[in-house]
Amino acid sequence: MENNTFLLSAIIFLPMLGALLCGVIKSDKPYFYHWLAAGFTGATFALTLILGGRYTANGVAKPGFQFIDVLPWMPQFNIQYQVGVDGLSLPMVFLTSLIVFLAVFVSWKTKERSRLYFAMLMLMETGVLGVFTSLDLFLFFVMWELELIPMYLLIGMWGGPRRQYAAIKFILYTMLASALMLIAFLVIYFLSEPHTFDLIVLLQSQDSLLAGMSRPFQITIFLALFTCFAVKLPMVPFHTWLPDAHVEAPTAISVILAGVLLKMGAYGIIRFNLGLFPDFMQWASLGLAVLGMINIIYGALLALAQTDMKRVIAYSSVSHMGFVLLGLAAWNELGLNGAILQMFTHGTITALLFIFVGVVYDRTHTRDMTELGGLSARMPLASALFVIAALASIGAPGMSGFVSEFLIFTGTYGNALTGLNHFLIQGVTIVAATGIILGAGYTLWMTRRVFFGPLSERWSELSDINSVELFSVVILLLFVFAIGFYPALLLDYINPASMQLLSHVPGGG
Amino acid sequence: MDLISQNAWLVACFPLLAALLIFCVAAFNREANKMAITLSLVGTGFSFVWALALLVLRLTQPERLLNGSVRWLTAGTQQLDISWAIDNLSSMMLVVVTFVSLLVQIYSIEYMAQDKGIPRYYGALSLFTFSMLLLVLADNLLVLYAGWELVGVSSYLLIGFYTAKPEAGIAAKKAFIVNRIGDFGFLIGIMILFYMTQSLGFVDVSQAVIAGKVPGVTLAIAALLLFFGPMGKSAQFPLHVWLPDAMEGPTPVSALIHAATMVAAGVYMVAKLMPIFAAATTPLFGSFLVLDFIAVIGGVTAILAAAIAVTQIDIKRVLAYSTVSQLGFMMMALGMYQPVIENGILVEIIPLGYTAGIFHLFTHAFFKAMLFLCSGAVIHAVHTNDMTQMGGLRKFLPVTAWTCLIGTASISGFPFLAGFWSKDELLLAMWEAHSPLFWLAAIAAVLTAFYMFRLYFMTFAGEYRGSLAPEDIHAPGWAMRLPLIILAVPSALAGFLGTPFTPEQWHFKNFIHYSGGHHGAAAHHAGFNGVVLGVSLTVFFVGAGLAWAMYSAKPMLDPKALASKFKPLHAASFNRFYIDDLYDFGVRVLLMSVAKIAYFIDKYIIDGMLVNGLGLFTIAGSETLRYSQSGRIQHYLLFVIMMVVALILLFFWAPLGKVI
Repeated sequence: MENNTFLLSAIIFLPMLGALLCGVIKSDKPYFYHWLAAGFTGATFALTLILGGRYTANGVAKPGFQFIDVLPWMPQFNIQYQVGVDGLSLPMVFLTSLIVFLAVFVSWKTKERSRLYFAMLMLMETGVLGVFTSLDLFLFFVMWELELIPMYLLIGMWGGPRRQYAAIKFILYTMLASALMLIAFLVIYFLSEPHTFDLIVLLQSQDSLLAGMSRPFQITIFLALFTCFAVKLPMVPFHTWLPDAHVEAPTAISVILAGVLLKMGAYGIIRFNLGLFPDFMQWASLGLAVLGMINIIYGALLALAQTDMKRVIAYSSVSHMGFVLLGLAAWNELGLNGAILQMFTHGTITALLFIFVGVVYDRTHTRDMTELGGLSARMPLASALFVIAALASIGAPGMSGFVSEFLIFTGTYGNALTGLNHFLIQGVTIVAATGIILGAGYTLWMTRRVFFGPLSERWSELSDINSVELFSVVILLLFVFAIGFYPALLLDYINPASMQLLSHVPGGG
Repeated sequence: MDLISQNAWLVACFPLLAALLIFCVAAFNREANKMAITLSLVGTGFSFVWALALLVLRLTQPERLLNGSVRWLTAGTQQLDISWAIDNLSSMMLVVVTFVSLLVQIYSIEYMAQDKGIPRYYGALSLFTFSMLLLVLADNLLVLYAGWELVGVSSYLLIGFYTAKPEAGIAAKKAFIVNRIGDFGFLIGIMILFYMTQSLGFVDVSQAVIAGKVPGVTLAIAALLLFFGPMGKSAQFPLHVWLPDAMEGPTPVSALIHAATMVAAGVYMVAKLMPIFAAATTPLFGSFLVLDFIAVIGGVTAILAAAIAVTQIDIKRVLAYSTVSQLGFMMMALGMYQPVIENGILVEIIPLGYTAGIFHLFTHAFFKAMLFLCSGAVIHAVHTNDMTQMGGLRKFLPVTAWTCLIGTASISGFPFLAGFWSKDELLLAMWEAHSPLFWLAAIAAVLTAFYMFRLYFMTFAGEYRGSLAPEDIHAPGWAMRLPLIILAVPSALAGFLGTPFTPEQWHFKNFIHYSGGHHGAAAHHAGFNGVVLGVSLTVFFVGAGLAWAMYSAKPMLDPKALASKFKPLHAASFNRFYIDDLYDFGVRVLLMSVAKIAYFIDKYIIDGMLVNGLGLFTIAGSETLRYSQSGRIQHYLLFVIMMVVALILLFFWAPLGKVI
């Protein structure tokens, strides 16, 4: 195990350095900040590849945190700067650096205030990477907040007509939620002996920590954390900020929002709710399964009722993130691996779909499906690629969605719970599986309405996807296919982590 | 031969490679027609040779194992594999799939010559060939399911090939979604079996099932759910609605996917998983087993689709409903069994129609592919699907007319042609099982002969009724004629592998028979049965004779008069018994209403009342924030930079930490 290599810290703070440089250097050259951002996010991505390569020893990924960097920060409060990755966070770090890097290219047409735009984009990346790697609750909270402000500005300044409303809704929701998180963290801090925010210590001493709390108190803390993360996930009924934010956000921001930010919620649930309160998590399994099922079906129904492409995909995110919740109810490696893989899968596939919405919108200036149609005649390559993305989204084999859905369904059906809950979760899984029918419904319906059928006169001058857009699409598709063909590629990282996560529970796993 | 036996999986990989290459090249050059055709033909050609070699291996060295697996993923300590195995059944399917695929691809060179998007077409055809071969190679439920979904995907791509045609897009979507309904059941069946047996491999699962590790009721439900998959893919009632609409795709595609191979996947799957179906001896209700359910669904499908086919005027739709009906026959046969009862308890089931069902799949693949290709040649010549605009085409398209006549006679059961023998085997199985479905099948067979000869007469006999000038009706060229002629041979002769008089060692049943269960239930065949043979002959002459009386050059009965005499019946048949309308209502009215209600709730109750009803807070919050939104970048920037600086100070300047 390598500690204090500062490789991970370099990954986290490289984008922030880029953001600072944006602030320091003033240039009138066109695309200067574009290239700056591409350079820094690209370097970050390259470093995560190195990290991934060095993570395994003799080709085998070990459980537990690695690449831990520790520095004292506020020693009198026992607060330290501590980051590290395990099989849960590594795929998320990888996803983040990938998606943000590609988002730079998706934003290539951003001319207005590009300096601030890319500074915010990179600042946000540091925040998100920090969230996925923090091993200190206080640091986690700071990083969680650090992501919010740039996102707020990115939606509020570069967004659509109702951007102010959407941005405020986004930030209010998340701020309220993070207030709950802060309270929960503070309670944990004061109840731990000695007082600490150190996640590694807390994970090791969770039994004594829990022993210090009464049961109702434990439940309250558990629910406070869960609610915070559920807002971010987003879980019904806390999901209404998402479609608004998506619709107003510029394409690249939608890509990041769906591709990365939602995973912060799922990550938090797994890291804290499952990590610190495994007993409750298991106790709450049936509830999780039901909530997941509601997300899947309700989200899919909402997607069916939309005419705006972005809204369809936004609600499909609600539906697909429901699979993560469902997988968490399984309490076996199949389900948990599936849930974590689904986070990655959804990140790449939804990013793809949003990129295509951007491609269409840039050319037609509408996302209304009642006005679109037949675009494949003018955009053959874009529509062919969109069909691939759509098929990926509905879990076609050979692509990563198939793997995670298969794992989640088989895992949750064979859940490790006992008694009545076991059978109830099986029932819930079967109901949730209707999501594969509804998902095919809204996705293919959208595909047909936008790309197939006769072409209206209005769109006879459209150009096909350009090489900058193509670049992002092809990179994302490569990952979608690679994991679909050989999921062990990523699951060999994830599996040790999920085995460890499940080992905490007596009788679980 | 070692090279082939150790790399059996390559049979599926050639077309996959071809598909990938074609799609990659097509991304840069959409006019790369020659390259696409060459790659696709070479890929499938290699596969065909490979498949033939594997078949020879199965015939000559049955002891040699043709299987293997690679790790796909590990979850916990459980490993999921991609595993493949070739038994007799799959080696036969490999040959049929690659053979028909190859011929269809040759045919398409000419048929599709005028169309745009040839690389896309051939890429999708190669992808389909790969998917189908993957499905056939599968040795566990995971690979089977993956191949199963992938054939659905490639079928979606091919049905929707004519992207500008609205009907094509709708049909493609419909096909995929209806199949997904079936796959939903299939998936749950897999989930249950995986959960109960902790394995996905066919051998492991069936051994566990036969050993009684799965409780009877659970097994029956799992088997029933598994059968939902074939109901979708093989277009069984009530999930048959997608197949006739799938005719919006190019005709060669209909021949390959929607007649010979993909739709047969359901039949193949039921046969492949027969040990599981046969082990489900716990009745669903009364004494009604899962196999009975399969037989009844098959029977209903066979008769219903045949009854619809008799009134359709679109040549491809007649063939489509004919396919649905024939698949029903195969399912019916697979559902035939002989119960073994000891001490009043049903201990085992011996499937009786296993060989017959597969044999019919085998012969049907040839003559139905050929019939579709014939219809393609006709449509190519007269530019319409409407049979009322055809007639007398024998003069213009002699090769097509002859091959079509062979196909028609074969499917209708003209003595000694392929369809006659396979249908005879089907009826024999039903007769031996003492199933009342025998008579249903006989009636459906009469209808088959009727609608097929009706199709032949309306298209080729009499005088031309269309609007084209005779010199504008072009006979097909060699690329289209050759596949027709090649397919005519097995369409006529393939049946001799399975007659009651075929020598034992050459007999189809000697190669493909059910060998599962406790006693390894041996192939049991009564061979010759006079009654069944009589019925076989009678149904052909009644059906074909009726068609001749009504639709030949000099009809004795007027179809129009008959139609008006049985008006409600004719209308019901012509309108497909209103099943499609029922679906339409279900989706467009019921589902969309639910979706709209959900959206209403979301917009006005969750978001409107709850979120904005937390209102005071929200308003207060947004008002406050609004003041901070001066709209000046400097302010935002200042704020953010302050944050960042504070953080950095906190981090790098520890003493400050002490101050706090």
